[in-house]
Amino acid sequence: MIVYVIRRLLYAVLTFLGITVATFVLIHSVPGDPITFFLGRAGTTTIPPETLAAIRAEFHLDEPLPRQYLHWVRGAATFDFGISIIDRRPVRERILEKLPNTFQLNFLAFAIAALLGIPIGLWSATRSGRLTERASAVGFFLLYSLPSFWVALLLMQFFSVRYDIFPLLGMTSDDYTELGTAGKLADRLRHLVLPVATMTYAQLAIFARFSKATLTEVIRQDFITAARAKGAGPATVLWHHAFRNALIPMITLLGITVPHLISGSVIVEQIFQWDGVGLLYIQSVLSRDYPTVMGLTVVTAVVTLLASLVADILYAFADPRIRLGERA
Amino acid sequence: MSDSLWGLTWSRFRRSKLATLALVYVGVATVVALLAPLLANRKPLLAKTAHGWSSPALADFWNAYPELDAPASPASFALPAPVPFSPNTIDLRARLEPPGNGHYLGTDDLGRDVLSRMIHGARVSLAVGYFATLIAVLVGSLFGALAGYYGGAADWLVSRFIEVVLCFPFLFLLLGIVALFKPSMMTIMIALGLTSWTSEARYVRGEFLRIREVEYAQAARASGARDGRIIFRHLLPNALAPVLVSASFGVAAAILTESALSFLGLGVALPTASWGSILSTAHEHIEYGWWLVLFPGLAIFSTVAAFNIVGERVREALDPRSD
Amino acid sequence: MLLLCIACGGGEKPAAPAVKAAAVPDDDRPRDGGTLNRRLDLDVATLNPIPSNSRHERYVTQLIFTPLIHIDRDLRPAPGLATSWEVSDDGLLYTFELNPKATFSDGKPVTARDVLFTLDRILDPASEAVQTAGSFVHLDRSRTRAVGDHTVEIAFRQANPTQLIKFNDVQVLPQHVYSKGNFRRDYNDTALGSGPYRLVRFVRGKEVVVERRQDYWEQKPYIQTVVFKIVQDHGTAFNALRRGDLDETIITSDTWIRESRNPESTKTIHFERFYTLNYNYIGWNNRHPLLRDKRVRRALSMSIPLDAIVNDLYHGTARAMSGPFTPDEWAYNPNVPVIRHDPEGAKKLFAEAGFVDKDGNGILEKDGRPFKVDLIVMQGSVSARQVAQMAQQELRKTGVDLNVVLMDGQAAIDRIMAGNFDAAYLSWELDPDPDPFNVFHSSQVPGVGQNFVYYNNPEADRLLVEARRELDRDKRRDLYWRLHEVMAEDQPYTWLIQVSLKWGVNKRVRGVVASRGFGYFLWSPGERDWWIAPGK
Repeated sequence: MIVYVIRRLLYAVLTFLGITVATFVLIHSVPGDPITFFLGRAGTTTIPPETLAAIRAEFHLDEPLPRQYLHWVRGAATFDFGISIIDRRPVRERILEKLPNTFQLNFLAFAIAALLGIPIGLWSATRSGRLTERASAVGFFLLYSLPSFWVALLLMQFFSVRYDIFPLLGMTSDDYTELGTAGKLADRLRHLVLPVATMTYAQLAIFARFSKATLTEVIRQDFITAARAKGAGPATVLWHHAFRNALIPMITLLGITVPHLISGSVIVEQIFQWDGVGLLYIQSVLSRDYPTVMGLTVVTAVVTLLASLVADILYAFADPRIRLGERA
Repeated sequence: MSDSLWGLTWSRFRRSKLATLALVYVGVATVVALLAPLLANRKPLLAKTAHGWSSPALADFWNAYPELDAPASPASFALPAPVPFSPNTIDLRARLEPPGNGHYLGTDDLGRDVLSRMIHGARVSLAVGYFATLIAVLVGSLFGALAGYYGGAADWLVSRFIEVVLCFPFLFLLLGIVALFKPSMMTIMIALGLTSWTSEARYVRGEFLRIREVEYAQAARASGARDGRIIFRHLLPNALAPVLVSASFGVAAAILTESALSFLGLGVALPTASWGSILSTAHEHIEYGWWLVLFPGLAIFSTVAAFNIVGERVREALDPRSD
Repeated sequence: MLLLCIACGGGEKPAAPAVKAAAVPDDDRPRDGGTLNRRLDLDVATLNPIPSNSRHERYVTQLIFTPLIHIDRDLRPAPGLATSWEVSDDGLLYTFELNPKATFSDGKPVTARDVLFTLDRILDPASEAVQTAGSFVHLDRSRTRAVGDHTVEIAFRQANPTQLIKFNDVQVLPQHVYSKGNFRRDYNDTALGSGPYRLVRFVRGKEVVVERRQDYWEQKPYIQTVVFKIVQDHGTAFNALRRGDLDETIITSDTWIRESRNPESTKTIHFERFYTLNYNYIGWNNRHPLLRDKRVRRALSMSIPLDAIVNDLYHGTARAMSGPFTPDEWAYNPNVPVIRHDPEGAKKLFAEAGFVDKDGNGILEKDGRPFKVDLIVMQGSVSARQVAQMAQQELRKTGVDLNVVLMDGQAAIDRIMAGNFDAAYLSWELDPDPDPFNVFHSSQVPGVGQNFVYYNNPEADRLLVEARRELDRDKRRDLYWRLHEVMAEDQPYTWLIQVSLKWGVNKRVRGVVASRGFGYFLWSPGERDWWIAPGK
């Protein structure tokens, strides 16, 4: 077992390095670089070549790509991801100050989706074959198919533009600093409603569908039939056997959803001008802020790999038959 | 898989009214996309001019530059297209008109007819959906087949590769591809195809792992058949069912991603309409252009939902244990 | 500025260049005190004025620092830190007399050594002074010196008539503060200068607060505290203006069109618009085989209906351009006509240049090559996208297939600055004293200057060189008027429009005056003369 865990961990490190190399090569091969950013800012003035050379030198852009990567890895090994080309602040600091905002959004969306979605899914699984079950199945599907940017626009149009119930965008109102503690909390919550709603609904559908499918699967298995044959009541069967066995795949699902939450927040943050890592990512990509992009790549890669690692290990614990090579 | 199994699947599929409806919707949407120049065109479907009868709208199928508005010869009789507006005809005096007034679904910020743009946008959305998925299926099957059939090092490599692709900054890849080769439908299709093959690869791999040890594959191998032959003749056809399901979901996902990209301004070249690009105009005019939000979004949603419903039903129908 | 014109609004018929805000009653006398809430549409990357490279940062630093010279309402040099200056006859030596009363906000006097220190920082490539270093490349450091505490002599190896105005970019830093540590990295969040305000607070992504200095050495501004709020979204900013949370903001053309006549809005908001030194154009790659012929470029310009763009898209809040100078500049030759929309004439010119539609598909060809051109448009600019699509539609009518390519800004600049493009939709932000040498001289090709369209005309070259050597304003004007004619004839660009900037200001703010070409800010006294009427 321990060997298995260690092996998985090693793979994760390897994959992680692969991701950073690939991203590094990719961002450097996309047309435009930090220099074009400054060229665009200079207007009709010609930037002296020495100035451009100084910028290149500062960020090692004048060195061969492998050397640049080594510079980066050397720094990253000590959690130093360099400084941002835009404002010269440490990338780590920039990301850490935005992470809580994204976390807030994601955590709320995740929690609401799980708290509502799983019970709904389990409930509808117990109503197998009835109209409510089928209707809810269709409902989950429709929810899942709703494009998030559209929902965001509709919510904005309805709740902000037409009825002015919730703020259109941003994280706080203009008068935020003048508010008291309670006022600040209320203000922040009001700003959270629309983006969280946008992020929640699809997640909720996935949770509901998955929990329903898992439970249905478990109910069909032999030992449930056996338990039932032994005379256990339906409720007992559900609680003691079915739910417990449905739990493991559910944990896996949680693992799989986490990375999606992060990438999903890019569009939501962009639309609602939510000052999180998603917005930072888009801005950094558009201004070719290489160090920040690399830093953000590390964050998403680590989260994704950890999630799948945890899921794999949980799987292995739950089912010893699973050995490496039987799951991708 | 034998013909009878396909037949059985089909009859099981049809038992769901909703799925059948979704399939019909997909069919209709595809036909609308194919016939777009006939459905929405400022040129008449049928016209009688001094040169005799002609169909200017039909000619747009072969015209390399259909947006070009050549001065029409005076027609003594003209049968207009159902939506008598071309998708890209700018009319600054009709900017941001709400639905009604000749424009069934209103106009956008350059006075172009939204319905016409949506009909033509269906071409982009569906074409991208289908072809990106086709690419994803081809690439995914290849990798999945390699991993599942050979196992060992090949499997290990492919699995790591899939992990890398899954964690990859997707946005940057798309940005890079779009910047390197000009934004066009082809670019978007390839970009989407190359980033969304992982689930297909997993399915094929899993299926291969399951069936490569079954008798006929063993038998084929024993009879000295080459690997390529075994993969393509014996294994791949059997892995087709799950791939089909995943492809149906794939089309839905690709349509969704394309519209998200166009929404962010990274989609197809201008002035080509896509559902996402109409929505991005809506974003700029969120304060009053409700029709720009509602209709294209509805089109994306219903199409994505239809593909998802079809995919789900196919999955159920293929599953011998379900109903 | 290539990139910065995303927020630009529209313009209109030539308005008087510097209008006293008519709607603002000046009946009562200016009052002292109060807080002004201003808007920044982007986050501040640095408060260090030397490496700073964007206008919104300059809005802040303008209040904290003092430049060697100011620019007045008519874009002429005015006393800043220097009370007077002298230029030698050969134009090589500038002598500035500093104001002996001038102090930094820490109480220390401003000396000639601080000026030299600041110049050294501008010249040091490590400072990355991308916007100012280019103006001082010919500075002769060995002959530049301090004469006593309050006199500086600044020497150049080459005379340049526009040099004086560039000293507006020399926002003098206190040497005793900025000489410590890493100049580029350590002074982005702090600021200490000799301006009328001192930095109180800078919260990234949120706000910058400055407060009036009690010990300011010149006439104090009226307003006590200025809060710069960072509000990126234009719609949000306008709502904040309406609620009174912001006192001023730039607004979009669409907002202007809807709100400037809305009584609800005009009750509390003063709307004004003005032209700045910004214009939009399509740059044609003059080396491109299809675009090499000036008749072709003229025909392209003739195919684009500027009047429809001005009247229908911008509702008259923009104006058409005729050449490389904007109508408010003295270098603008009013005798050069704007090219009229004339598709038939364009077709004739195309035919003259050898373009015919042989295969009858509606697209012209020459030597078997169809007239297909890619137009790069930067993603994110709404107005660029709209105008480009109009141009596309109209050009198809004259037989040109203009393919509009939306690119992200960096990729676009990468291709444009390398001269690797067919056509590009761009805008320039001109300097207050014109010198288009870097942009149009044939030596300033990619890698050297900004002539990325490869414009090459010996007469234009001569005029550009002569004009930047000529120190006499009237003679310079004659040279530029001729240049204007030559370039309008050559059409290396299709000069499109100048879109007026639209502003909304809360009516409680008084003394609001716009300058010729600069609008409300960045000139002197500008916002320092604003004051706030007592609330009701």
